[in-house]
Amino acid sequence: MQLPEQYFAWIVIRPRRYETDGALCPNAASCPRSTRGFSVSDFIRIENLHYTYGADTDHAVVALRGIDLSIAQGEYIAIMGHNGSGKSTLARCLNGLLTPTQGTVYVDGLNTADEQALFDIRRRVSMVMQHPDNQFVSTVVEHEVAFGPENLGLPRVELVERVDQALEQTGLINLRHRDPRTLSAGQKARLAIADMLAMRPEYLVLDESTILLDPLSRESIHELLAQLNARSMGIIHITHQVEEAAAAKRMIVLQQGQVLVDDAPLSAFAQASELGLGIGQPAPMALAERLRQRGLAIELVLTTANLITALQQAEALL
Amino acid sequence: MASFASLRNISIGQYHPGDTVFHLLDARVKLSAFILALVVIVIASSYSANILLLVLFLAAMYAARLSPRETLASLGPALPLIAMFALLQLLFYGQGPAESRIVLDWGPVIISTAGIQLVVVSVMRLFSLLFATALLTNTTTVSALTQGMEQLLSPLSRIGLPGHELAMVGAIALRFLPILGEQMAVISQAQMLRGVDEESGGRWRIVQNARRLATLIVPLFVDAYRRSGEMTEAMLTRCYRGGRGRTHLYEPKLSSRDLTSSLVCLAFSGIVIWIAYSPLP
Amino acid sequence: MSQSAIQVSNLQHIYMPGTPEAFQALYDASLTVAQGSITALAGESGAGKSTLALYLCGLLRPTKVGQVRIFDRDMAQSSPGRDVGLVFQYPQQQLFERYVGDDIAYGPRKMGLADTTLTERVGWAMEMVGLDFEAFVDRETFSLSGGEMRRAALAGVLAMQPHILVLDEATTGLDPAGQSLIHRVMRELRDNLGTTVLLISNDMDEIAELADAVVLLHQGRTIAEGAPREVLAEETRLNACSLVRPTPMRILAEAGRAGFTVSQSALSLDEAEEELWQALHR
Repeated sequence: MQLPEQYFAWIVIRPRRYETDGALCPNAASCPRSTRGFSVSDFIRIENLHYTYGADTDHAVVALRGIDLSIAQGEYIAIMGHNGSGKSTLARCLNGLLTPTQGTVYVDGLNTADEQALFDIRRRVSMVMQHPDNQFVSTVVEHEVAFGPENLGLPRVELVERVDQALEQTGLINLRHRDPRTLSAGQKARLAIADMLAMRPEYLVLDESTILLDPLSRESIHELLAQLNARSMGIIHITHQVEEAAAAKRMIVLQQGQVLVDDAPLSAFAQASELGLGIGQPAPMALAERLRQRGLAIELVLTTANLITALQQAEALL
Repeated sequence: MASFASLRNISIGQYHPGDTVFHLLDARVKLSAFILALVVIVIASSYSANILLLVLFLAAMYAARLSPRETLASLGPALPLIAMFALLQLLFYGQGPAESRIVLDWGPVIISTAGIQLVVVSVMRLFSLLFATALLTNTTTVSALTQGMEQLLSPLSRIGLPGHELAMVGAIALRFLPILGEQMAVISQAQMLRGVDEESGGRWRIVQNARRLATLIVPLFVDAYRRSGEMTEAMLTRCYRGGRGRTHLYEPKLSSRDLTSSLVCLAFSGIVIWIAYSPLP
Repeated sequence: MSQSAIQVSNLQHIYMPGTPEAFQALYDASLTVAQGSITALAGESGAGKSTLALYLCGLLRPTKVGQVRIFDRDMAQSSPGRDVGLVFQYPQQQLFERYVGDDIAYGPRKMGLADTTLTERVGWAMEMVGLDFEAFVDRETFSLSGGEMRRAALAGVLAMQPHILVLDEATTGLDPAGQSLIHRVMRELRDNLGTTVLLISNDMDEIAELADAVVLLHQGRTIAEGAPREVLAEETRLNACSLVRPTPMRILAEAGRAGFTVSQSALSLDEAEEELWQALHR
């Protein structure tokens, strides 16, 4: 599904605000650096983040233990890790659904611990969760998409425009009068994304949102994500699927609430398997590695297309 | 299959898409009419007034293309309880007002004409109430309903009461009702497969069913808790902060149709109340 | 010599018939599952897979149209009883007792097991799913983590030792460790106890790796039934069900298109590796 350029025209890089002095900083190069070594041009900045569920009770569960991350505008990041590694907790810290028990999270210079800033943080970072059924507020698709922008207090003209565009982008425009409950699983997942696109956020966080989909519906979501990112919307995709992670440009692996790997997917997968993290490997990469172990001089690759090229190169050398 | 599975079929509270007059009416009109209907149902205690009410509601249901049978089916699981209360009323109501005749006098059990009337009228009222609820909820979307309630409650906001929030809570509860019903059916099925007793006597074996219900409540509660948590997060993520500063995709305007319907409702209410106070039985 | 454990023919199902919300989930579903096999059932979401599962475990009964036979008994007349165990996608749906041990023991206790046989059975089921007996038997069920809850739910069904185990998307959304655990359990049940497993899944790589046979369901109709190597190779038909070929096959197909002489029927990475190795040294 290729969409016309006009549907993405609204994704623009806005000038950013900084917590340090509240001033605008037009380009990253001229910005001062903060004490912890992060560039203040980072869109999301996480410093020594700890999170404990039920911190003041006797059955406290530690979910995050000291995370430092800096995320620039418009990145495409995959977060992997076992069940219980803290992925979802981290996602919920990104837009202030959870407030750190220790450390700080800044979004566009705004501190997520600051109640007053939450509204502005959440309009910048949207999150799509696993079960669309539990996210839908309304019983009509177009009202459902309008819910977020309505909360922003936008004038009617803009509400209509945003709803139309979000539905167009997700291919749901013909279903605008339907009840979300009657949609197929794939359509529901698209609607959950449309809900967030209508917010026109700078970052879209997906918390295992493609799990319940059949393979082709999942692929169409991947295409949509790639298109959004190509137009500089930031994507953070929490997933167990190695193929989904391979589509990202940066991959972070969590274990027991700590970042163990943070690199481009290819080397991230290599490091993860070296550390024995058991998150799996994309099939093309696994095949290249096996062939290499059998003595073939072949590059490590992530995608099938690259595997074929690498095979051709290896064949030429033989 | 278990009668719990029939909870899947609860039709009250779900929007049934359509284009009848009822669907097109402004939510404020429907809400006001609903409240008026409640008042009339409470006032009308005679046979004749209640028969007229039921006839009017059935006609309205027909006009809104809703099935009365389906609406009453929502009552399913609660039926034994209702029957039990009705029976207790009938047996132990006593003589009531002096003009009431005693039909049966058998120790503590006294069945009088007043007792019979009370039970029969109560059942009729219950039916009217269900039809009124169905007419409102089956023809109005949650967003329209919320917005309507909000507008009607807006005078309250001025004195500091949370009009929008009250409306939102009501609307979301309605939306979750069928999901919870469905969940209850699935949980009950899963448990039957593990050997939890299947009901052999159906819905009338009250004690067994009550015990059975207890094993359902905990998982259902856990599930509902998880869902409401996710719903809260999803709403917060979308910058929800109550009614403050919210705008609306559609700003409903009252039309002449809304005015006419309001007048018709008022007229019918007047007639029913007049009959209720007339000497007719 | 394999006999059939499940036989479904021309099954139809309509939800809420006669209401405006009537919905036909099954039009013409037919399938045969060989005894002691792992058979996969795949199809787009809404294809009717879960409805079919409800028939197999007796929660729905065939009425007029269609037939369901389990171990040659007609399900219109009898019920599968303890023959069929069903594992749901969400463990919260099938757990209910306060303590893990009680929950797992519930089924076998209802079957008449008691004392040491009961404890042994519970211990066996917990061992199968990798839950330590001492550590978990007295834990509160709803305080378990998501992964542990899944294991407890599976153990609760295994403890009844059903002859047929139906897993309704029970591997969906698990991390690789959780998935391989369930895969190991499925294989052990088939190989050691002769259990018949019906795996409802849309994970094509999982199906390719595990299944002895595959059934494709599309809009309530069976559209293919047979050996994985054949059924999983038909791209157009799979795409119609919103499915794709398993990854090894897709990679080999790409290699073939690029001029390598490879057979495209590989189901596992081992086979794909061998094919590519041979192609390079030809």
